Amino acid sequence: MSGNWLCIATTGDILGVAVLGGDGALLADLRQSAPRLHSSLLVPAIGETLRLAGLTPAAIGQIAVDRGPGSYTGIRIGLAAAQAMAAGLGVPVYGVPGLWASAAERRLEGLYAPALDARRQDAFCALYEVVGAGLPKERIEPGMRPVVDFLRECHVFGRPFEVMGDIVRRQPELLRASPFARLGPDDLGAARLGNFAMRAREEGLDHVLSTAALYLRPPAATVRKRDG
Amino acid sequence: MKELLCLGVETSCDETAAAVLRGDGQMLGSAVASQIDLHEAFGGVVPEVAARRHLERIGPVVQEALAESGVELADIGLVAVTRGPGLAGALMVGISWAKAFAFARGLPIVGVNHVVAHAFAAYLEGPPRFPDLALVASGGHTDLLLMHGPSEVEVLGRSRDDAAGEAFDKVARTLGLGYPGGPAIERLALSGDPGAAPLPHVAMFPGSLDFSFSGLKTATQSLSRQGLAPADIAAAFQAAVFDQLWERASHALRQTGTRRLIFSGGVSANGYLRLRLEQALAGAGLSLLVPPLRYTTDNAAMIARLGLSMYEAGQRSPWDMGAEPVIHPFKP
Repeated sequence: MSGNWLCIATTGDILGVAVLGGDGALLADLRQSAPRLHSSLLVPAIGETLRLAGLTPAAIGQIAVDRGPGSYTGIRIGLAAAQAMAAGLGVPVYGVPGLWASAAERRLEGLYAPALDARRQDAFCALYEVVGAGLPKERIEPGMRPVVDFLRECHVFGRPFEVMGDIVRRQPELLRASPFARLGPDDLGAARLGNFAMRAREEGLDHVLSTAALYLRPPAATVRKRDG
Repeated sequence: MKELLCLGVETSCDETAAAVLRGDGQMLGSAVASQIDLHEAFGGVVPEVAARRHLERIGPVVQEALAESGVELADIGLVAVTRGPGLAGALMVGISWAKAFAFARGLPIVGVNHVVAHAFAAYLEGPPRFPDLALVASGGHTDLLLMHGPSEVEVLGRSRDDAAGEAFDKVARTLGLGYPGGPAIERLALSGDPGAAPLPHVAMFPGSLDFSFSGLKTATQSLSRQGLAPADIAAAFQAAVFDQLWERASHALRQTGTRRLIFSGGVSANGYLRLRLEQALAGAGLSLLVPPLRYTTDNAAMIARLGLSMYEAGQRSPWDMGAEPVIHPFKP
């Protein structure tokens, strides 16, 4: 295989950096609660993760980074840093759709609902179904919606689903009110990004690994007519 | 010996910029991707729109600067990046890119103050000399700086309200001119009579070197409503801006005993202001130093210039350096 994976997750409160071997083996996994400090702490965290793995930057063979959705600033910090490191090291960089990669950490067949708190009772969320050995299939497309609307859409499937991501920590009462929602982990770390990129490439899905940010929303600004 | 190459990165507002400066102070290449058209419809810079564009452009802009310089990323030996003041989300794109690149290559990095860098743009013309007095006037800042070194900068005065460039933009809007307002006002003023439009003299309490431009802006609106000719108003406004800049600068020159004035920032691209300042300084036996025209507005050449001087003075920034949207008081 072509060298170690550096994985970078900066789209939520918890900053994640992981290093995987070329074969997918987890060499180091660092998670740090750092709300609003990702731009300060990301590079030190990369340094620490490499140290834990016993590697230098030169041993990185490819980079996987969460391309969203999530915190707009967080998405940019991760993508800017990943692209700069890739340019500096002369290695490829893969942008990974974050929600899909969370669901893909599950191998047991069923429905999975990764959701990130987007404030004001909204969430960046999607529903996936794990069927067989391939990557999960999309059942509700990624988007920003009121959490209650999302749950209602999920209920249409009439089956239990596991909710994962920081919504589990931020809005537990909404989830507990749902007859089908099961509370999963609130953070899935960065290793999932490398895992996903490897599988997506094996399945010929390279096009989903672009480094274009997945904000899922236009910037909140309105055009004001100038009246001179 | 191989010359050190410094890569400068700037993303503090609405220009994505990169430049390569050689260790001996020679500029090799500079690229700027402006977002003016993107923000024009909003009547101002929208932070989230700016930050998104910075991320899209940062990589290509660095490549463009390298290509113009005829060097490779692997030749870079030092990284300088704007850490503030500026828009937080915009600054973080440049800082994240620059830190990660430097870390990957094992290079030193220096975070620099954007306003001080504007003053250092003048040193792209000749080597730094300290102490030096700088008048930085742009769309975001109007500061009178006494520079004892790249990291020892005293703010002698600053605008209490609008920045000088902001006043140009707003007066241009009042007069029905386009954006950016500076060039439009300068052009129109050529055919105007400054004496035909009375504007107030803006005084501060004795001894203060602070500026104020919002009163001038309001006065021009009033003259415009009275139906005075736009060309006369433009000429009077420009003359009033000069009066205020010169009054404070000449006072600061006397106070500090410095022998020259650096005039930089976007407003220093104004030919009328340059000429009047040059004449006034010459009359006092002093000289004016201005950056090359293309380095008056936001650019990364000035970031590399200040970063190189700080590096030579032994400064390095830590890997946990973050954005400093507001740097006050000045601690470059």
